[in-house]
Amino acid sequence: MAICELKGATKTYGSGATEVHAILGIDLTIDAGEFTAFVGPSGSGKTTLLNQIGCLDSPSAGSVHIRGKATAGLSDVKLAGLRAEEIGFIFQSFNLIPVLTAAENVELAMSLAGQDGGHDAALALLAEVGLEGLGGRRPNQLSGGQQQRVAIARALVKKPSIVIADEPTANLDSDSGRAVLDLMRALNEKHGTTFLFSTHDPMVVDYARRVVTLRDGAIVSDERRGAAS
Amino acid sequence: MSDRTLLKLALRNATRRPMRTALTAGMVVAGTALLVICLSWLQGMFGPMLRDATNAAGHVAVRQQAYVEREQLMPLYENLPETAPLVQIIRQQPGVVDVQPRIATGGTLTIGEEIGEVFGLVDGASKAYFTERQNLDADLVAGGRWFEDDAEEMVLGAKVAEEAGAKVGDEAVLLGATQDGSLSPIKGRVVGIVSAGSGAIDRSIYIPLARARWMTDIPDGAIELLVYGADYEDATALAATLSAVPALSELAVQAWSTRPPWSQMGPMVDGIWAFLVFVTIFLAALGIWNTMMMSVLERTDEIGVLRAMGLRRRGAVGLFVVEALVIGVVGSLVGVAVGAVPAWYLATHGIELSEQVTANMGGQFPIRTTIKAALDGGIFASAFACGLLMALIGSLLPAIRAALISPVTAMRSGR
Repeated sequence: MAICELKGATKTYGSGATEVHAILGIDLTIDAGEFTAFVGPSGSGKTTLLNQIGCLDSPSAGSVHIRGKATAGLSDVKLAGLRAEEIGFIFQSFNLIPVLTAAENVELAMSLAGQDGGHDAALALLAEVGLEGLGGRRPNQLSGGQQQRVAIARALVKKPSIVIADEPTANLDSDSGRAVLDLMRALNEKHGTTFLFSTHDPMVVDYARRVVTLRDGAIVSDERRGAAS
Repeated sequence: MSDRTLLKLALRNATRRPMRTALTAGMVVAGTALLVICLSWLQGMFGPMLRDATNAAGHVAVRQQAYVEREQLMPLYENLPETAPLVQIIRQQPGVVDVQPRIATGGTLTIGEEIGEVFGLVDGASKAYFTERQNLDADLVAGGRWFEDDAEEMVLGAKVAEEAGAKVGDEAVLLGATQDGSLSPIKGRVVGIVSAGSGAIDRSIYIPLARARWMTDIPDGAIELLVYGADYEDATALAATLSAVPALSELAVQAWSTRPPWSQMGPMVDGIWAFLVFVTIFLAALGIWNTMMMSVLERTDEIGVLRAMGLRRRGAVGLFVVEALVIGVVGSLVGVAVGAVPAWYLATHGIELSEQVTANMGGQFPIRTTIKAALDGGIFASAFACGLLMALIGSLLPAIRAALISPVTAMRSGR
């Protein structure tokens, strides 16, 4: 079942002589439960494409549908609501809120999505990502790998349709990176959550079941694989 | 985001950079403390001034319309010829506590055989008016007393007594005028001298109403009827009640606040208060704006993450406003406490103004030589509320700026 559909999605910055197409006429369908990596050189349009899918931005032309809902023309409030309910984000710098504990960071995501039962759900999910007993620690008391696990729990706790991970292993050593990817794939298989990665990391590409390659704002290859290593 | 989460996040953020928070709170403390001191001082200066003035001039004055139109000339012929029936009617009206007939005019004073030219404001009314309404017997110099209503006696203001060389026990001749303009001297023994440090009081000559009636040839009347309610602040309502009385329909019935100089001075006093509050709030808000803007810039990527997670613009505004209000509550409480100390000192000891200053100003306003601050809960509450307002205004622009940050831009800055 298609969870996200882009038809002729275009994002243009500037106008006239300074007009730049960050992405141009992208047609793409993402099915539920995918584990997809978007690759390509810097400036190829990976982040812009994921921003469209993540409802952080609206297309200048074409359409983006998330679970059948078109994002173009939605108000800021409706886009924020869609993000809160349907999309989870994982960032390369983890971006946890430093004044909140690990558990509170996870609870915050539920609170923003208007969901109840935050604390118990947060602790349960932290245990699931291997951080049992660390819920009371603040981000600066956790390693990079642990912080990224908190970020994964934060992205997943509200049970989103899609998790967008922007260079999730970029600030991790290879062991931590592999552990985080193992965890994400396990969660993908267990919960059926769709994971979309923007990455330069070959290890992430190895884990992906689908690899979409972009260049100059356009998709140049779309490779589907069997079970990855 | 739930209110509880918002408050928790705001509280944690407020303790994130202790020095910056202290600086922000310091602006609120300084502003609130300044307001406590200034407002209590102004209240101490204008409060008693208004009480003294309304005690002297009545909460409501009833006079001939023609007298009001030429008030500065003090036209004695525009008097109320029969005051007794009017007093009786007015006393029956709801809210009326007291009515005092009064004759105010001018005259020159002579002591002994010397013919003096010491001018004084002649104030003719009952002993009760001077001693109970104005409490002037408290300002009598040693050895004196107030006059009796049926006696040929007078009390002199200190300046008049000094210039005339008068002392208690002297026989004096007061040269005034009748209502038709003829010269009219009366005799009287000086039984007291008042020294209040106020130009209006110290330049007056106080005589019984009966003697003033005789001097001005208004045998049963007065220039004005001074009406008192329970509180001078209710004068407007009292004036409205009296204006509706048919017997007073041809007369000018005026609350103190609508009569010169108070009709001009009221807006001036309000203007001083408003200016003071505005400047203080503005300056403190400017400081708060500065530190809050630093917080917004520092947390741009964090705001982006929260926005990406679904925080609405309104929530981003709330995050910074609540943080500022948390600081504002603490800062305002400390500011009120800090400001209360000097305000209490001013309320206890006051500041002594020179008699020259009060005499110059007191020509129109009864200013006392020692001005003390007035402390009350209303001032503390106002200063506290202003402290919160400073925090709110100071944080609003940075908060709006935070809300307008695009999540995409914000996260790009954090990479």
